[in-house]
Amino acid sequence: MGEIAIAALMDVLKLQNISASMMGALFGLFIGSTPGLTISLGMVLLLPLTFTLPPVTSFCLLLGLFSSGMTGGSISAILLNIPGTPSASATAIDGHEMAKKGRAGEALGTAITSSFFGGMFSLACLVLIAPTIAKVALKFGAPELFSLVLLGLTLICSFGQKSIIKGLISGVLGLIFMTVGLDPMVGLPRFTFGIVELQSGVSFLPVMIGLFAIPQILEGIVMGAEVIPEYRARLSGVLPRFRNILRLIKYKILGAVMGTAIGAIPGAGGPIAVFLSYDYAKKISKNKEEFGTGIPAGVAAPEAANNGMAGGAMIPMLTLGIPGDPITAILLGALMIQGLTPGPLLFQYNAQFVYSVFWAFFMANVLTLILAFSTIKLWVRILQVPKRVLLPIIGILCVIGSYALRNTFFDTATMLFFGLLGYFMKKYEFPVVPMLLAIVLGPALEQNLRMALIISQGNPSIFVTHPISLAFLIIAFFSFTGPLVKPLISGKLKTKNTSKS
Amino acid sequence: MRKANIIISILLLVFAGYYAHLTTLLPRRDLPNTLGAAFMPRLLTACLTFLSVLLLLRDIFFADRIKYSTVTTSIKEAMGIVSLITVFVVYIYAMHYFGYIMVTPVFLVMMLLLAGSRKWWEVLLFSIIVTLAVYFLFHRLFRVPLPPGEIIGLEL
Amino acid sequence: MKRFKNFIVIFLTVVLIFGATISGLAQDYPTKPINFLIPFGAGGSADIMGRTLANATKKYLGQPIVPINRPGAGGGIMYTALKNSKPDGYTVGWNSTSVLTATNIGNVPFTYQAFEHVCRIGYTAMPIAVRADSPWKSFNDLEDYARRNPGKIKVGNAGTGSATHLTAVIMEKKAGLQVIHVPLGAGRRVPSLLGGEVEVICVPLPEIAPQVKAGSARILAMPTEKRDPSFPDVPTFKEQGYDIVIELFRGISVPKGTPSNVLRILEDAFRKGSQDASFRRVAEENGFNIDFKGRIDFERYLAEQDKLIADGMKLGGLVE
Repeated sequence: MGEIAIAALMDVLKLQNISASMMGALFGLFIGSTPGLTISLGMVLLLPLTFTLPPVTSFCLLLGLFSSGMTGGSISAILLNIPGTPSASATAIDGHEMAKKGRAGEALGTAITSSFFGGMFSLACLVLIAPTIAKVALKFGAPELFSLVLLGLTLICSFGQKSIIKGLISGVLGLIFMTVGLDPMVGLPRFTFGIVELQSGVSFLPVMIGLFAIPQILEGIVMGAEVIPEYRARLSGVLPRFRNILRLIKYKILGAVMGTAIGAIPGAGGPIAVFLSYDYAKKISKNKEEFGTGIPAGVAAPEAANNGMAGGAMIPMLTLGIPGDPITAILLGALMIQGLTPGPLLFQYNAQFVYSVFWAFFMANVLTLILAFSTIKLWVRILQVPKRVLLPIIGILCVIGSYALRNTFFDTATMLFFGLLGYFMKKYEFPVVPMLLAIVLGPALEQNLRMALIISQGNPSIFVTHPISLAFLIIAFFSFTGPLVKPLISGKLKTKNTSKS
Repeated sequence: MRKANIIISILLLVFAGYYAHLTTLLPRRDLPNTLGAAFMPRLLTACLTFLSVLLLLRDIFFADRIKYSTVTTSIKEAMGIVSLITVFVVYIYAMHYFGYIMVTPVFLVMMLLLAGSRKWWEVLLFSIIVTLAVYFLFHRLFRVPLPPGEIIGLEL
Repeated sequence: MKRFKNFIVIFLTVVLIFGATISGLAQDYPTKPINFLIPFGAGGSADIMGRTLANATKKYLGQPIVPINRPGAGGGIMYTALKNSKPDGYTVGWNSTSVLTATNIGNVPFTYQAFEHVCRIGYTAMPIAVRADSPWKSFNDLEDYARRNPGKIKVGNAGTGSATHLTAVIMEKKAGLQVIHVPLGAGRRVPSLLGGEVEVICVPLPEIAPQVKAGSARILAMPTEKRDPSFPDVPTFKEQGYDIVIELFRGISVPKGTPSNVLRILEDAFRKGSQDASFRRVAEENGFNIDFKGRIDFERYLAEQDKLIADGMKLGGLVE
């Protein structure tokens, strides 16, 4: 085994493989950081190249893109408040606040190191305990996924700090928007008003771009960009101190574990992992109330989860031949193009190739770290562009980004609608994150609920007789009632002073 | 904010009613053991109604317990929102007919002026550079098709 | 006012020139890049096959072919866009069985006949598969069990109204069984089978083939005309006494009203493209059998398949 691993390492360290990985990482950084360009799209574009490349080189290229694309998503989330990938949306919450305070470099540094940590952690899991994780991941059927998603939705309560009622309303509205489209179970159009475009439902990325980015443009223009304070991006001292990296380690471990675990479950979806890890980071932190105001811990946890998902999603792909998400589905396609059969036999017949994939993933993470870290200063310079120029640029990226996702102006209209909604929600103190969560999780919630009931032939006890599902439901119950009950118990007398509408 | 909250909760109740109405119009397709398409919408209608009533009651009866922040609305704000949304909508429509490359510089000029850019060279320079940069990044490098335009299909 | 008149004159001239070029196009088609609409998202089998075909065909057309994903509504979004595009041969659609399912379920206001169908490129089998440790070795075993235990076996598919669902429905009704159809969705089919959530799935061959090779799943029957070249030991439904032939076909469609010389050029180019070495290689790896049918054959084939799908929809209680 050791010999194979070393032979694989030697193979990966060939010049052409290193440069392929480098190319992939560079490509990925652009793709991840540009709204509207997705990692899956980048991979599909690179796929024809792999027809002629040897298997290991192809994987160096694709994994380089995968890993750095995940990291790149945080760059625009932090700097411009436009998450480049869906799983960077939790990063935007604290990351952009940090950027506003002039700590963009530190936020980026934290994001990049956390991404690296998450990637490495998931790689370790992939190498050491992949078969075990895959076996557990297969246990996640419809009832388990329903309960996991429900747990994710209970986070709405903790994101609606100012007023729980308003947070819940925001979440319920999000769920209502997600019922538009083709019903997943019976195949009928719902609330589409006869418009075929609406059958594809509300697409998540345009909503996210709208909710996050449009309100800041509106504010800038309504108030006049010249009165808004410019970002004070410090160019010196952009790198986070080693001490701080160590202090954040518990958040990184938390994020990495959650990302890897949830990434390995086929059909669970990425954003749930980042939001869960953000929320649990808040729960284990001593200064909970600082979350959302721009602290590194709020960047570290979701970013570690983000890249943990990359390795996590590769676990079922390599061990079982089942893709964990759309991106690994493309990797699977690349394997097949190379004439390799994914699944358990891969380890048996192509062990050296599997080790090469591990090394390639390792190299991809290292190169992403180096590449992203060395360009922090360049990225931060974006913030030195005066607002009167930056806001129009953000505007065009919103329009083109939302169009390019599915080549339809319908998504651009969606983006604009949610942008306007987001502006008024912000103004009247309705938190937007619950709506975002609901939009990400809504379809999965409904689908798995109804699917589980088909499987159990209408018997709702399926949710409590499955142990994993029961466990999630119990946690969900406490995290839902926790924020509601706590102020009643501890702060009953103080309500008059502290609660705001 | 109190008045705003009351108005919003009434609007939400109206919306919930409309949504409930739409739910009753949903087509039906009964498959064995499958919860119908209307199950989730009904549940959500109930949740939204409950929460809106809660918000309404809270703001009517317990206003003295809540510390409200003040919201201001001004003509300037309304004008800003309307003009910005108009620019966006016109841009999207124009792009549909005339394609990305023709319309984007005009959109950027308008956006730059709205955002308070007053130097003519700055407006001109940025509108052209940004248009081309996005074009090369999306169209040339990543082969993502940008809106080609229905009437004038400029091939680039 | 004078200036305005001048403007009008210039404008009209420009329009005339453009108009002239457009009408001149039909003679020497194609003179500009061709948009290639894909009904599903980036990275799926339809996307990879479509992009490879587009790449292989461009040299026979002499113009770039630009793949554009228009996912959503089981293909309905792409077919609507295709129907509404100009019939000038510069927008072609990468169709599949979804052109029949999306139209028959009634979610779009047209039938498959709203298009000119240029050619079929080939098809993928959608076999019925079980876990390797399941007691059913053949379709007859499954049938016996299902007959003795009506309403017990759960059969997974890609979604209500999808081709895999209809195949399972037709199998159920033709064999006179009663099963539970579970619309797992494309991503969850195989994990659900392996994890034991459902006992049987109907799935495109390339997704299940690795599991079969690894000894964790077994294919019971192929709903195809003849045995699949990659699994010559697996019998078809026909051999086992049931006339069930539904294939996941893929081909090329254009809007109705496209000039016939353009149709000929496209048919010819895609025939050559489908035989191109680069496409054949990817097709083979993806379990896609290249089996070209020209315009007339394809129309006839579509009419047959459309009837099958329509019947399946009725049997499954999806349409009246």
